[in-house]
Amino acid sequence: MFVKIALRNLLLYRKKSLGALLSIVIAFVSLSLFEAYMHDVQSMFEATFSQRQMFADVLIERDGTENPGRTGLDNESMNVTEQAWIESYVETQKESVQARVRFLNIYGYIANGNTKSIFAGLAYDVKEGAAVRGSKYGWNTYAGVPLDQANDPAPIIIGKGLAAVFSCTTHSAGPQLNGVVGYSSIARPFDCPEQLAQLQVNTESNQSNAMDFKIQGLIASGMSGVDEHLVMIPLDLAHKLFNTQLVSYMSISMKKGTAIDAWIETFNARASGDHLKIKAQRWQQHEMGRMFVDSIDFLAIFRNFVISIILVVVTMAILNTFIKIVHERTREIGTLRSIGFRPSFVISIFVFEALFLALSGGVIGVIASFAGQAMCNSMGLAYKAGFLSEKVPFHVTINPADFIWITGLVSVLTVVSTLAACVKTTRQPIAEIMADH
Amino acid sequence: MMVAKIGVRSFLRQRRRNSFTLIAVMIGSAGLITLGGFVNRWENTLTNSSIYVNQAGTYSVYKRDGLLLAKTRPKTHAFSLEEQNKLTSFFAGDPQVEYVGRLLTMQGLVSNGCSSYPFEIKGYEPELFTKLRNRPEVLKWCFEILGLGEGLPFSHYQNKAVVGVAKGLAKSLNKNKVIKNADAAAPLVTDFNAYCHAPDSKQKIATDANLQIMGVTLGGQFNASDVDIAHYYTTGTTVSDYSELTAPLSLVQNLYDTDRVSSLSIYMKSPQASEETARGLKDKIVKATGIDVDVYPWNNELISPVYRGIMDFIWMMGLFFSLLIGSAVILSVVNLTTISVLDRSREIGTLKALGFRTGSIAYIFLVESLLIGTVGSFAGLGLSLLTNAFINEMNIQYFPTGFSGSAQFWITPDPLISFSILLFVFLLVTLSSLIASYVLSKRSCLELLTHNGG
Repeated sequence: MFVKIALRNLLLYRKKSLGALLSIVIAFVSLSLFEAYMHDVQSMFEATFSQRQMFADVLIERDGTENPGRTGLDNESMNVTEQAWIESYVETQKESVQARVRFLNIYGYIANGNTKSIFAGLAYDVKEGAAVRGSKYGWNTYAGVPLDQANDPAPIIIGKGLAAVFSCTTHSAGPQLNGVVGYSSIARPFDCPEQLAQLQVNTESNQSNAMDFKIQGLIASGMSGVDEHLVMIPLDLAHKLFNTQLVSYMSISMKKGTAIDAWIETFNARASGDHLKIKAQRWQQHEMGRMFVDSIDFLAIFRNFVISIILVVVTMAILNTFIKIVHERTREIGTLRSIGFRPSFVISIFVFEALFLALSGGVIGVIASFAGQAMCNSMGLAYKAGFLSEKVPFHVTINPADFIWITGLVSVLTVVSTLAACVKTTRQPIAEIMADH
Repeated sequence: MMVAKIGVRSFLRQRRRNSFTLIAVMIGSAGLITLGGFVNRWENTLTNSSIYVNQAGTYSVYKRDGLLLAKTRPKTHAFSLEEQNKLTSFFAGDPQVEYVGRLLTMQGLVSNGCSSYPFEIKGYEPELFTKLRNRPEVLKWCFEILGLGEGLPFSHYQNKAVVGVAKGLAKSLNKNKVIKNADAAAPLVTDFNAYCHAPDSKQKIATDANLQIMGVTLGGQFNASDVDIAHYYTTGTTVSDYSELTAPLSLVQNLYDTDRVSSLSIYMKSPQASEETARGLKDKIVKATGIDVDVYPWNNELISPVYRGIMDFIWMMGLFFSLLIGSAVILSVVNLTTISVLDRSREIGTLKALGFRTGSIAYIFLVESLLIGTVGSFAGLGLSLLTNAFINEMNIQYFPTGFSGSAQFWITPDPLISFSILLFVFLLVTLSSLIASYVLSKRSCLELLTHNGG
């Protein structure tokens, strides 16, 4: 009976109900589009760090290092013993580990023809690195080929800024790689006046050394300020050039379904048990993932701020509407009370009415949200997202699971507003209710 | 006059009903002002940081293609002394120019004796920098990035073989002392291998404020210099914080054996600059001096990538959020005012029956909505001032994306933007109420008097 009366009332007072419905829909769409924006930014950054930067799922390095992720040829990088321990541990974890990549931060001078510049680069296991980048970012050069596709025995890929310094040119502007789309696997041609680049470095034992590399591709790291000095070479060649076996850090890509946190916990316990000062952690918890965490935290502050404002404003509209609805139906409330209905019954009618309204708002909100998503994504807007050097498209990605909590939230909001509006009236003595009107 | 009186009386009589609209207007406008205050803070911080702290000037003047190549091919892409003199005299004649700064940016390796890292060193004129960092707008907006650790600016040191080290690079070099508080002079090491691999090497390296910087001179020779750390600073961004050094211009010129400079920074009296004005300036320079130059405004993407990256992100986010808050406010306010007017159909009918014309009735509602709009807007302004003062007083720290340190969650609304928001909200309330009342008062008396408001 509640349901019937509530539905009848909704239809009867449809004009006013429409006002409340509109407010609910606005709140719903605002919240869902906001969350959709958050999801999009999150997935864009996740792809950038996890795949493009090859951080995979877990990073392993020396525990307590002063410069997380930035150690080079110093005491803070992982030595042969530590690496061997990790290798043997990973070997026993075949059911959960997909791939592991070793990295070494490298610095020095790069000379190309008459031009000499400093470089700050990365040496890594090329095959494993390609596996971690996956199909989306496997091809990571905007011109030429990635390291794993190179035929030369001493390949090097250089950053966009460095390529400009060396007067390397591409034949077309080429595609843009960002957190949303990757490159197609095509070796786009490029020309450098000198194909050979010489890396001049200090070895681990502080001796000068140099090695010639052949430029195989040009890369855009995606981070402003990095490309001007960036070089990438295979790890085995770096070990030879720097006369070292050190590794700055390792990344581990886990198989789907692996409980990553439990894996990390076991790894750290075993390493500690064997008196090794190495530590595994999710890349999001690592210093190098700070930019990701900061961005998401920053957005979360704004989400809470925006949600608070929207909810207060919309609550005012809903509350006002229900106060008017209740006021206009004071006689109806009095009549129901006079024929024996208890105040709680009358309140329940209004609550059901509010719930129907909230659910209808939810249904319309879902449709409107998808329409909003289509509109936002078709606008073709692009912007620079902080430190990503390429512009990224302004996208929103709706996660249908959000609809559940948003519907819950607007329902609670509507029901509370309704209760605030009707409790006092329904609890008054019948004579007062009838006389008030 | 009587109509206005009725409007005021009506506003007071309907205060309970109007309070919902007032709260919505107040919260909505306060929210938008606060959001605007956040954007305004970063716009000002990054503008002043780009122009004065990073010394890009209002305009950066490079030799043609010098922005890309002056660091690696200074012989051909940096200004010679003669060119510098020509350009300086050109700008001396412009009353809009406040200062002209000279910068030499070069690359090299810096070592603590055990490990070396690549750097980009920026040589500048210490006296000018002191003037720039003491400007009121710089002190106000850039306080988070002006700290020099325990050190002092170069102009305070007699010894000119001093450098400033960006905090990230200092961390890599394991240095935290400046000249005045170094525990010991640089040690005389004969066996670097033993020194660097000793268990206490980290502690030993950290005790002095000495570094060795190495570079290749313009003649192609390696050169090195022993320097002391004058101060630590932050570039403001994670990426450059791990690779930047600064030094007096004379030191950098000595190290690279040159009197050239990479660029001139032109500080105009007004920070307003655009690509178009930069093009105009370039034409004038070429015509007057015959030197082929590139001129960039401070907000060019290549000159201030940090400003462009962060502000693009903040503007996009701010506009999207404003759109969401704005639509919620617009629709809620229109809903509230329309329902409020509809609810008073009988009152409108009675006024019409008493002989009030449509225009007069609309005027009554206009007065009422003007009052709601005015009170709501001012209450919104008051609320935002209170909230912002409270937030600023709490000194909440957070980590903005890519920023090398924490920053205060500081809200500083711009008066013009705040006024525009208030005007918009005021007009929204007034017009929605006016339109609803005008449409309703056009109906017949009978229709209005029998209207049930539903």
